[in-house]
Amino acid sequence: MTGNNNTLENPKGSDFAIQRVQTLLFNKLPWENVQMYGRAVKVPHPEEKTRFTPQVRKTNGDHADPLRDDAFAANIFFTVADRANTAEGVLYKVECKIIVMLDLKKVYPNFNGLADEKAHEDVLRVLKTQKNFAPTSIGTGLKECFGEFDVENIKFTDIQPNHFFCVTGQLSYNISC
Amino acid sequence: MHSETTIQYVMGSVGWNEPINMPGIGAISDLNKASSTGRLFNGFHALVTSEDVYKTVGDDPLNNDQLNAVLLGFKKQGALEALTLIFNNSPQYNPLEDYAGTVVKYIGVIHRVYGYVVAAMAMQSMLTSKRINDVERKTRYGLLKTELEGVKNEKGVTVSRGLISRQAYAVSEAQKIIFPNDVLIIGENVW
Repeated sequence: MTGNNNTLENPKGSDFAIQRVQTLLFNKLPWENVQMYGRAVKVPHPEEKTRFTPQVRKTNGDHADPLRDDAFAANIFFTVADRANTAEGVLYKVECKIIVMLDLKKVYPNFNGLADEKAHEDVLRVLKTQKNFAPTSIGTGLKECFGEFDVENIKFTDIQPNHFFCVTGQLSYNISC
Repeated sequence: MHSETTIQYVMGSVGWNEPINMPGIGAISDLNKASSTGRLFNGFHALVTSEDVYKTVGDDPLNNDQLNAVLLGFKKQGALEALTLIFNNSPQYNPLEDYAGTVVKYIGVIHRVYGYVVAAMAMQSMLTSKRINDVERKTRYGLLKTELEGVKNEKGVTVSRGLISRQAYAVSEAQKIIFPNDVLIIGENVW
């Protein structure tokens, strides 16, 4: 894959696990010109504290908006649940969501027909080879993909050639201390 | 009609800012940066920058040549519109007179109209953007409409002035300076 894989320096905990999945997707997905980000944090709206916007870290440490940018064929970022569970205090499990937003015509220029399910298949095929991420569901639609994020200003829609979906799964990582 | 030299003179009075943090698009041309007054369009409104134009114009990202052509297009159309608003729309405009010398003399007031005209044009272009990115989300419709047209309360009183209102004020101020004499109606009393 070509594009822009925004990795972090010295990632720890869930960031380390996410970066492994992120880099695997970047290396193995048969797509060109993809913008990849790691874990997004929820930034509250300055006036309404129940509204959040996703913000990610770029490699240089700057914050960025990870939502769709049509300069790229696809944009991918991760979110994690607020709570991570552990049984013995070393191995932690957290619900993680991989949000994929893409232009199907740019990702599959030679594919005849509707390519949204093909995109799901390509992502799941790569994720199958990753041991620390176990997919549990695949979702589409604004509510399913962006959940509690503020979608008021999101203009892009789930209409061909634009498509977005999310893969939710259990992310496992170690905290050794 | 104004001569090409006059139009070019107005076009050179205010310039576009050099894009920052935009790797891949390169520098903008000297013609686009040219500013004889030292003023830039983002000085007339903070949203009117070459970066925001780059992110909101066209169906797909522009290359350097396309961006320069778009920016120059704004400059040219803005200069024509500013000259029309100040001169051609004035009751004292004489179509047979060449205003080239007047434009050079009064560029200090004409450039303000020009700046606001280009800022409003760029903002109208952002309003109809088909692009999808962080700038497109930041410059959402409601915000742009407010910045462009201002806000009036329920009694019709202006609470905040938009670019179009500032442009109209700049035109009226420029006309007062360039054509200081009122229109004289010479004729017999009809009563």
